[in-house]
Amino acid sequence: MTGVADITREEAQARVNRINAFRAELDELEQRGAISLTDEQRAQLHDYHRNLIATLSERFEVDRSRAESQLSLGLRIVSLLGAAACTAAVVLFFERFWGVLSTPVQVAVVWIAPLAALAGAAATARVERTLYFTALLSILAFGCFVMNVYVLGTVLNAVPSPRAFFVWSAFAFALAYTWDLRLLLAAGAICAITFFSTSILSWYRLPLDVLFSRPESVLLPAVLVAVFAQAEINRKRYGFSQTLRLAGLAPLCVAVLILSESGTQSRIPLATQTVEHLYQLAGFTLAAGMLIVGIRRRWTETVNLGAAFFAVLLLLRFVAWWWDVMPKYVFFLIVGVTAIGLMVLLQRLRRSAGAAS
Amino acid sequence: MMRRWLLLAAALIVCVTNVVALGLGLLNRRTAATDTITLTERELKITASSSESTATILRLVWTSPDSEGFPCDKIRPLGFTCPDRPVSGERRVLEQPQRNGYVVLEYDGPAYQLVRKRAEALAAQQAAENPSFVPPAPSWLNEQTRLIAIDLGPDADALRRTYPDASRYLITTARIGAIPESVPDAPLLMTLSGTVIGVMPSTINVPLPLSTRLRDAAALHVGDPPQSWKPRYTVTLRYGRFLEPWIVDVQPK
Repeated sequence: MTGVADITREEAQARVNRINAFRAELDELEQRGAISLTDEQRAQLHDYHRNLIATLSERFEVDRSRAESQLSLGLRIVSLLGAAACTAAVVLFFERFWGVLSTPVQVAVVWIAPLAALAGAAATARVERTLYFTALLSILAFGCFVMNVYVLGTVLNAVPSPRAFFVWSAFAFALAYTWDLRLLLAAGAICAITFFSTSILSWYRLPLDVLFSRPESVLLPAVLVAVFAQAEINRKRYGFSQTLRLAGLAPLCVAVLILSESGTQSRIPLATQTVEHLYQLAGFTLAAGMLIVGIRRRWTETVNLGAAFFAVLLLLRFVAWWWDVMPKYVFFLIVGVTAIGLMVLLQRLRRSAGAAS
Repeated sequence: MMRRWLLLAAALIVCVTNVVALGLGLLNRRTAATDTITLTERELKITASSSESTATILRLVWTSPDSEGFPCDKIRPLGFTCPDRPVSGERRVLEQPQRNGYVVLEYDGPAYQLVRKRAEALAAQQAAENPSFVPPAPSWLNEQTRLIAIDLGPDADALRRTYPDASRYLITTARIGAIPESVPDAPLLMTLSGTVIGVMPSTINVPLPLSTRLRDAAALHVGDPPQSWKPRYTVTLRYGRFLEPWIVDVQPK
């Protein structure tokens, strides 16, 4: 079977989806008389597709039908919930017996827990192709490692440090790239952003949880994560670029939004209002940039985030300008009319993008 | 092959993190000064992280002198912008984020005597002004902490040189805030003063077998009336090179 030698599971699934769509469209065309295949041709095509699907299914355990695909989604959700529940169980179990364990035993238990979950994930990855159980055990390993670092900090009565986010990020990235797990990739990216921003805060003698009072510390690491999304290593993996773009751009938007509303939280040595105006301008530019680049490169998640960010920025500006000076019905009328205007604009952009493709 | 390396890297991250954390913990304790400070239940109260937790955790209880913030020359070295003259409505000056620094907590010294006298005077004044005022039981002052924040700064070593007696002066990492205060006779004008928001770490883990001794001591005198309340245990603490404390002894009282 040619063409399936070096493809990923996601590419195999996309191929099966295309085959199913092709079959449905072919049936429709034949019913309407637009095309007519001989019995021999139809049998040849049917055999080819059946063999191809059988090969892909055996190698990647892809969903062959809509029902299977729905069950897979259910499996993913259950796997995530299971991972969360197992992590909570491990943490609470340890808390329940903490007091009866000596310090060396406490340290040994929390040290071994993530390694044991990691070994379990490696073992299940050898026997399953869909990686649902591997994903569950990987998330559990990450949760155990978070507990490991937290417990060590408690046992040693240590002062909170940004370094914890660094090791959590590295661990999450290692697991994400091992088994192509997008949830752990997002966790790794968020931990990396938190590590860089809290390190900047520590440099300025600010406590770690002042992060939301000094959102400028988030800007650079968030941009770096969004840029890293385009790296070759991520483009080769299904959904990695999208996940990293979202993990980078969402904190960036939140940081700009906070600064556009509260200039006192900026380190820029300008008057508070000037800083707020600068960040409002930056916010609209960022939203427009996300929309334009997202449409051109067909990054659906970037377009959606850009549109949502633009709408929130605009709504906040409307509230600041007009909420106190006009009747509320006029205010909401303006918001409604603006939303309709935006819909028309986005529809035109959609049509031009469709024509370009 | 790549997968195997990544897996190995993940396992290595776990092991290196644990080794480094334990190494730093050891370094904190090995290179510590030998001086200790002995506090009582008044300063170290047993706290529970959750209803199901069996961990024994002590919370360090301290207080600040009433209505007295630290002046600008104390908080400026921490990075606060403190105006020389009172200002009005400058939000960026008056709303500054908290900062990390070091605080000196004096144990059972002149600062505590002052706090105690003020509390007694306040209770007496309230009783005199309002006949229906029910004064608190005399024992309540005996339950209060005697650790008082008396100084702060950006350099723990410099503070230790100023307060060399480690058995009376506890120096630890703290969160410092700059609080706006209105100027008397000019309500529109504000100035800043420093205040200690919290100490880090604020809780101290009690390992076995000291936790058993502590819980046994805490179980004593449970039924005693509040008037005869006395601290049930003393805890000897030592702070290490990185100002991370650990418990060296627990004694029932």
